[in-house]
Amino acid sequence: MNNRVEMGFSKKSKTSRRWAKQFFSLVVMGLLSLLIVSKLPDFQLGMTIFFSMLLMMMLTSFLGEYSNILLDSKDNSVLFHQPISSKTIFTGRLIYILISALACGLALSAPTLIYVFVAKGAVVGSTFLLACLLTTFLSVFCALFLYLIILKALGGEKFKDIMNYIQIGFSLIFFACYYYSVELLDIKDLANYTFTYQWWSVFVPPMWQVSLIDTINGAVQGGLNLILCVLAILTPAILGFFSYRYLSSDLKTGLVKLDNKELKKEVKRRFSLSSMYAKLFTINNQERSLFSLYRSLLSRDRNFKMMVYPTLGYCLVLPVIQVFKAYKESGLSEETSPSVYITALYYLSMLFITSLSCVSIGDNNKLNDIYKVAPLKKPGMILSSTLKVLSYNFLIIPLFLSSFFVYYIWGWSHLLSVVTVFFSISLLGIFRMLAGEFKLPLSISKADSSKTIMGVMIFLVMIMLAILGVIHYFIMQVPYGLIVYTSILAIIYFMSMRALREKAYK
Amino acid sequence: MEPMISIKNLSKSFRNGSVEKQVINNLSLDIEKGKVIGYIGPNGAGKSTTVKILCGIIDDFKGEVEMFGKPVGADIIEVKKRIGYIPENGALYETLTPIEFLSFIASLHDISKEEADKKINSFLSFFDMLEHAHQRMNTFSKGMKQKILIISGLIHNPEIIFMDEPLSGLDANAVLLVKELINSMVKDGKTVFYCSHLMDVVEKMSDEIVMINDGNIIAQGECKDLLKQEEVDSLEVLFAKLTGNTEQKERVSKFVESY
Repeated sequence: MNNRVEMGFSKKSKTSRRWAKQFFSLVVMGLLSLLIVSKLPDFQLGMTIFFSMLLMMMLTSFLGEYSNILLDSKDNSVLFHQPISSKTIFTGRLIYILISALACGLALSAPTLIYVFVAKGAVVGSTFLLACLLTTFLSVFCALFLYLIILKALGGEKFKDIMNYIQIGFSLIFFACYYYSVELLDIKDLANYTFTYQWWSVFVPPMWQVSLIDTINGAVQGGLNLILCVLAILTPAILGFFSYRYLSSDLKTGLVKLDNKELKKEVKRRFSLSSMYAKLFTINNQERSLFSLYRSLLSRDRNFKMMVYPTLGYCLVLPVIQVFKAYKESGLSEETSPSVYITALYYLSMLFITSLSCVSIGDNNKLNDIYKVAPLKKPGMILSSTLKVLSYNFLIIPLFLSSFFVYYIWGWSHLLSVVTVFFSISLLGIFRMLAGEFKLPLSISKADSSKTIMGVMIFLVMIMLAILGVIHYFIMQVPYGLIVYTSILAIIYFMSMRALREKAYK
Repeated sequence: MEPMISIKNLSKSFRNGSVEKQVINNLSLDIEKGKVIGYIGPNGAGKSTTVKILCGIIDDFKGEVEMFGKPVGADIIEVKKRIGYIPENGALYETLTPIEFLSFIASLHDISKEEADKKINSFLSFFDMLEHAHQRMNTFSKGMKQKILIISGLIHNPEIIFMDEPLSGLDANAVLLVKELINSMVKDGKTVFYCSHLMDVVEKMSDEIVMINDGNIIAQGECKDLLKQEEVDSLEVLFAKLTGNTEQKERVSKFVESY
């Protein structure tokens, strides 16, 4: 009904095409889980892994997409003076979220669902479908319950401030659990693993669903399985009921406070490193002013932060996993292969790539009119200053902090790699801006932005980063290779930065 | 006669961390039926907050607020059925058409589809918007959106209407229409709570003026009585005098000199 994610059930062809593309992308992602389920000899183990993946994906969707729907305060002035209760508003949004979540959940489960129906029969297939639905409900109500509790406890103003950090925290936890558990599992051991229910299964929601399937099909019996079945069915119901009965009435108060414009936060002017950086690395006053403008805008734009910061989960967890794996195998010392830190550094750069793809999106096309009338000599200056802001925020700072780690383990001679990563990732950014029509910062609304499923985008970016990492690693094997490679990258960087400043835009 | 709106010792503050700002400070006010109250004050005086409390948007406040003789908290849904609110910079669902949006608002007030269709067409025709009835509102100008907002606040025939800068963005013809509409609504016995910075409009339309500053009422009464009391000619001058801004000419000349 508004500029939120549209359901796609409308007959309008553009929305339907978009929805079909999203649906297809989710089915493709679901194929990954099918690979695991079909390869493992133990069906229950495969199911447990599948439901873990489904739960994780649905929870991250809620954090990223659906929480924006639940906590959307833009229509406060439309709805809150109308004769509808807070519970009705809550229920309306919840139904909207549930329908969307169910569609996504079913799309993700579709390949595995078909496999289970074919391989195990209609009865197992039907209970598997039921378990998928319950997992979706569990993820939605669990996240909903947590959000409402935090909103009630903190009040709207504080919640607004820390909402980003809550989302980053959740995504960090989820990705850490997900990737850590994958790394802990040895593929060879999985082939010989015999699944059994233990007392601690009551703390593992995916095992509740597996137990439900087994119990309904008579594969298992026993008190523990009955408890797990009850948990599978009742937990989402209880969470949903509690949220509706006791927490939904506070949603309206929370939304009013979220939208509160009465208290104007004073921004204190103080010395910042970014000003020093701007003085050193911008070529003229114009670029410096634009750098300062975008630094302020992007650091205060809640939507931009909500789109970019959850990627922090990927960026921190993946490098940590790499380092942890190396440490487990052989400890960390100068003799450890540099491929460890190379992989870590390139993964860390994902935050920069994500920020680049989100920087054009701003509410209500905020800066469009200013771009049209501003007397800029070289419009490309906007792009170069944006790139420098994003580099500063999302590339230089993480790389700088990582350089201490690299120096500590591998010594100063490997610090050049950090510089190499900086130039190669920055060049990715410059080429992205030079190629095609890169939209100017904060100039298009979210509804008009090109929709790419987050998961698919991350997947493509990871492939690009992997290629760069491989090139980097092999160059290091050549004597003086890295110095020459880095020098070439630096020259290309400065030349293409000049070309970027000359870029015209419509 | 029992007042339509009764406010006693209303206070409201907003807290952000350790900072607390008192926006309304022990405000008391009674509003009779069939009157136009001009509610004026400088920016940040607490006008919009007062209106939001009366409309039930903000529900945590101190003091007593009664509408139609009952506390607002007692049956807020029933109260909201009988009031209309035309916000300043109000949000619309801009991907909807006027018909779709107004039908939605009408449905919230339990107006039947047939009656809603009739009313919507009638209002759109009144505001010369019938030809745009099936266009999405994200293509509308500010004035066109404002007309839809006005319709949305009046479609259910409310007894009390809260208006916050309702003439903002309207062309001259539409301004005249709205003024006449307000006059005729008041003759019908409706109560209008009118917030605006346009002093000449407020002066002409209001039966009673309530002026607030920093959350306190600094003047209240009929316009002509207030002007006589303060020995000024216009509401604009009265406003400047009571809010402590009487040296505009000196400020401007100083500024222009330095500029």
